[in-house]
Amino acid sequence: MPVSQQFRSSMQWLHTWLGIALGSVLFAIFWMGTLTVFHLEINRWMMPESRVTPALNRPLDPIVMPHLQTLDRGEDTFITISRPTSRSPFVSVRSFGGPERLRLTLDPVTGEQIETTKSYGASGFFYPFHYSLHISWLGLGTWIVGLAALSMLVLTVSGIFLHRKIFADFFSFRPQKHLRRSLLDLHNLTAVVALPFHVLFPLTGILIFVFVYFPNSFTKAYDGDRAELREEMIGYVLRDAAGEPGELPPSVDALVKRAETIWTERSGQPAHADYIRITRAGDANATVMVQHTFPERQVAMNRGNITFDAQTGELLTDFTPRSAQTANAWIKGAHFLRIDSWALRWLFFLGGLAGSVMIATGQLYWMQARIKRGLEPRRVRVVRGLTIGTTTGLILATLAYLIANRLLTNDVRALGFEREMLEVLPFFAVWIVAVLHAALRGRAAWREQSIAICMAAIAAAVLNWATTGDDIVRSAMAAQWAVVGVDSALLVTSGIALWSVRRLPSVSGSPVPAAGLPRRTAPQAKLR
Amino acid sequence: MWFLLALLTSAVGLSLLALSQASHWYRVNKSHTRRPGVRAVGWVLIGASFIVCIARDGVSLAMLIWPMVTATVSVAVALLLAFRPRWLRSLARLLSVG
Repeated sequence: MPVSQQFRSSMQWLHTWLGIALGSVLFAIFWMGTLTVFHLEINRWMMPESRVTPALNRPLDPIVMPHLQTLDRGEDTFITISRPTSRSPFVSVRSFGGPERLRLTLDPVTGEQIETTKSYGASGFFYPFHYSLHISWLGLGTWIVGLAALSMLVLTVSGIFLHRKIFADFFSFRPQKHLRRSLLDLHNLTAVVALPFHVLFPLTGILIFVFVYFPNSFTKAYDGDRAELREEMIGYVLRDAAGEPGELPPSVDALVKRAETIWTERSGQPAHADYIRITRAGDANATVMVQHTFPERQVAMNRGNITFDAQTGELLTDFTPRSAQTANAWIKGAHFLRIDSWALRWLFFLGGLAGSVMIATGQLYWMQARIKRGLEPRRVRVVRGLTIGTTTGLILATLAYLIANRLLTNDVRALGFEREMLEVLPFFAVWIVAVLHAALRGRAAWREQSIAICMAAIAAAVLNWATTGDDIVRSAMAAQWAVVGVDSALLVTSGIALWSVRRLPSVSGSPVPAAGLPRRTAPQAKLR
Repeated sequence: MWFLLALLTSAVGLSLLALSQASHWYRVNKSHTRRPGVRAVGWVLIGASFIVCIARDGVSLAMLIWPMVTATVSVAVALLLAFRPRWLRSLARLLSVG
């Protein structure tokens, strides 16, 4: 791109320092987001009891009603029921508020209660990590993620200006050249080819949290009336409590059926309700909201809601998003990826990996360039600790979380922590150790952590087999594709780690010329 | 099947685009003589993969799927050129002069 030298050097400065300041955070967000693409599948892996065969469109009443009838309900009791889907094959019932809480996972056919492994799984750990970094204090985590997303956009634009030969180098990856050249090639390659992805995700991410970042922009338009805003934006109705005890609806299925009929007639395509919410379950003013997402194969995350009076079955509201909201729904749908498309799911997973590789190689390139230029040893330690520890270290920590999940027995309690937390502790412990190891171990750290990843990934896959009896072949025979997918991903991770080990500098000093990679540099150099 | 077709057209299209560059052409063929029109055919096939995506999923979803297909295949082509350039030779032979 023909730009002045001064402009280029200021872009260089911006790209370098913003990248260094937020690279570690960005890597964590990208890595966790990549895992979140398959969070329900990882849940199946981490909670083996929930690996039930999907049974869709079974009646809900015999399964949920006995539990709802015996629940001690109050006017503040809210009950949510999630119907089984192919990705989340059981009925999930939860209640909030009120005198008693429910948290049930039920078999979709027999209605039997499934005691799942006490774990946050991927939905409760990787997913919140992706958007809040688990920093809940003052909502700071969400703000840091927002800042990182904004920086990501700035980094992308400045990166385009910096890149001298976007088209000439479009397919260039030269692993046979020296390490820094290969790193920069990988950085440019993964950045340029997935450019739409690198712009789409930070942008839609910011828009999803616009309520958090600009809380007044919406409520102002409604004179601060949040209830009215909620009703107009998402069709959520909450009636005041009547103060008198009320009954539950006699049949949830009947209401679901009525709602589905209305949607099907309107759109001309079969609609499937996926979520039911009973508000004020113990009160005479209780309502039942039936919701569906994605009636068709569309990206837009349009949610239709129909709300009934729980006592009389009278239809209260029938909400469909308005056209102005469809753009917003497309933006959210593209990011949340609820659409039933396995092709897109895998492509976004690969895109997330490309982003992770881009950030990691960017950081490692900077580190190698610094060390080459002769940085003082103490600073080298800090730089190493941050770059290596937050990239390979985070991957190791993730594997430690999975291994802890398979090793801990279900009733374990230790150090005053519940089992869920005992899975999380190894994650952070390994992460901290990895950062320290990278800082203290010197140039061998990168290679050694790759070796650790290679072994830990295999260990996790083997432990799944040892603790559940589900090896890859058996899982495939039982059509447990979620388990097959996670196990295969672990083995591939191990393979890639092994390959990098052969490429990376060994303890002895000079980079190892990769075996099996003949040096084919001459012709390219001649043509330049 | 439609998805495989989208991948295939994209793969051939992007390979041709890569081969239309002098350095990649030399790496694959060890020859400097290139056939004209390689780049144009490449672009046509990349466009075709977009049309296949639209036919399969509609415009709304294709707008997400097609750029990601292109990105994934581009990385694959770059890796192929780096580690197994000979695999592209038969494709190049089809197009080379004489």
